[in-house]
Amino acid sequence: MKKTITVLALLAAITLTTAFATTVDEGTKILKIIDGQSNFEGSDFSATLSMISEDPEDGIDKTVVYQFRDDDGDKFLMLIKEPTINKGQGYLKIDDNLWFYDPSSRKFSHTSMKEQFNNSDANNSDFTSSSLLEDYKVVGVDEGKLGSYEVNILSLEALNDEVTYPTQKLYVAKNGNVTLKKEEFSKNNTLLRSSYFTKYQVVDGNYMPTYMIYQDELVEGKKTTIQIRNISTADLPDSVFTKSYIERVNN
Amino acid sequence: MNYLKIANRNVNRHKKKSNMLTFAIAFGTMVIIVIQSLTAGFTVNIENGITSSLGGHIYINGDEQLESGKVVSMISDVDILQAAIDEVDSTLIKSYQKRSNVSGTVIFHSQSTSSAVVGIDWEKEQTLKDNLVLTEGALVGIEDPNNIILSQDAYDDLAVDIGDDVVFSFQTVSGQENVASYTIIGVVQSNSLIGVSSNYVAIDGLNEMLGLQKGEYQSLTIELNDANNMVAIQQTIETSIENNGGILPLPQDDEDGGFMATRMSMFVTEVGQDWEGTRFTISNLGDYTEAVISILNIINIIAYVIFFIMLVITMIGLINTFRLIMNERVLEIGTMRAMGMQKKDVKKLFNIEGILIALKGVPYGLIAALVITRLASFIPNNSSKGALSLILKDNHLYFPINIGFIAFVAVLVTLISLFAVSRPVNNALKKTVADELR
Repeated sequence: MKKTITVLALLAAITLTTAFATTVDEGTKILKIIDGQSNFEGSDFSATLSMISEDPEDGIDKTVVYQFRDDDGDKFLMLIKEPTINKGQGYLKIDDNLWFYDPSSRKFSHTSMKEQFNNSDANNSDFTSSSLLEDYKVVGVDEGKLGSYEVNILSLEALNDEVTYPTQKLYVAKNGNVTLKKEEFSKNNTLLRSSYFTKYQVVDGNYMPTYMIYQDELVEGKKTTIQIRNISTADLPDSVFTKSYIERVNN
Repeated sequence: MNYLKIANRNVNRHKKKSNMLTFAIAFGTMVIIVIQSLTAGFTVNIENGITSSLGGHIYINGDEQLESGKVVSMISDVDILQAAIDEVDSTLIKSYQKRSNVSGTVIFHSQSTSSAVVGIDWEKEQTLKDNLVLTEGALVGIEDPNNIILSQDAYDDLAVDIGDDVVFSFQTVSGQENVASYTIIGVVQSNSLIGVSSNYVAIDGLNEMLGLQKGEYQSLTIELNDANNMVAIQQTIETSIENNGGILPLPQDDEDGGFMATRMSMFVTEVGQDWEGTRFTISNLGDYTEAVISILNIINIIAYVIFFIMLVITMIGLINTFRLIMNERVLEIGTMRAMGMQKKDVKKLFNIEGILIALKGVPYGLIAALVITRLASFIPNNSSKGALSLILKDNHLYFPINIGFIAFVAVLVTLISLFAVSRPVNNALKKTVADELR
């Protein structure tokens, strides 16, 4: 009798483990899909971003930015058009280096992908290609609902200790595998930022979020809304992703 | 001839005039001593403030390269550093302490401010504990890893109160986001003059949040008994680290970015040097106080200018006073010479009178200076913030007494007095005895 119970318990454990592993595998596949849908391989990407930053201390700021991406070359350029005070400032990413250009000093300074973009709630890393599969592993998948959408809730854990957020939760729509919400946590598991991706546009078969809300979970009332317009996947000259280009457009 | 006795009698005989001269000398002496003492107090307080804020006179930071090539601020080769410190003559070192330091954002509800948090070993850092000037709260519970001493700047920006909980958002040494919650137990004045506006917490709790292993830390500061030894001791430590297989930054000409890149290495992720283990960057108080030293130099120059002006005023006052006195004592000089005194004897007599008056005036000036400085040092200045707080000691002006300088002033004033006497006397002696007696 005792033996039978042990065998049954073992079988149950194996069944549960297999079921869990399958779910995590599925989660990993979803992660791969998300990366694939967000990246533009074989073509370039350009768009105009309107950012509204709401800060309880500083009030509301509007920023208009031209975004250029070359995902194959791991490059991007963000050029600020508005407000006038920031006009001409640019962020240029080439491989692992991110440079910030200030037209008033006419100098480039080294900055980090982890830094906030122009004092908004968006990080510089939010504007580059997605590498979730490279940096995170799926440690759990739950099913749930976000508003009226059926979602898979992917719990992610960093594969190294150099990514900004050690853990994340992705709320991915079952229909289309697009991320609707993202929660990013600190090392001691405090929720730092919630991101909402409320509108998507299909661009060359990829799902591109066109309306995003980044909400600071530590500072009450602080958030940034980003709207993307004028999306194009036309090829961009290589010269766009150079320091001299930023200097030239400022002359 | 007993010149001293006669001179003393003359000084006492012309009481009104002598007192006038004594007052002039005393006033000049007093002003000179007060100004020198005030500027010396500024210098001492600024140096002490910087030393306690930065944790000592010599600062050792560590950088380590991760496998990815990223540079993080930490010291794990603790044995190499300890061996280097052990090689320094222990009588020269007052204390040394390990610190951790991270910049981030302090948040209270919808308010936030960028600020640095310093992890302190409160059991060992008695100097900082003694020098912290709290404007609010107390140091009770300072060792608790959940408590924080907030800088005045952060306290004002966040509009918080003692007992409020604030959140500190920062990155671990490897760059991951992390958050700590602290209860405010005190507020410390900000040293904005040197750009130091730190919040203080217990080091163990902060190290854990930064992702450091037990025994690791980010910087080590050494407080010396005599700041004049700091360059020599820095060299001893650097040599020892190299001899023990430790790594130091490349000389400034060999590394892109030079001196500033070396000093700011904790913020630099790309440097032209590959290494294993801890790379030690050592600096001293002088590297951080150039701006402050410039200000102190300006203060000293102003003090010397005032000192010089006071000397000139004192000298002119004495010359004029002596001239008036000489005019009234021409008859007396003529009588002395008629009785057989030589010119040089008369001159000697008046010189001794000048010295006696100076020696009488200097102690009065010194006493007046002591009274004024003591009274001024009792006046509290509780509203002082920022740069002003840096020149005060416990919210009070500080007037250190320099015996050597007082002796110097006494000699100088006596010489001036002699100079002031000599011209009117010489003029008086140019006349004939008959003219003097007329």
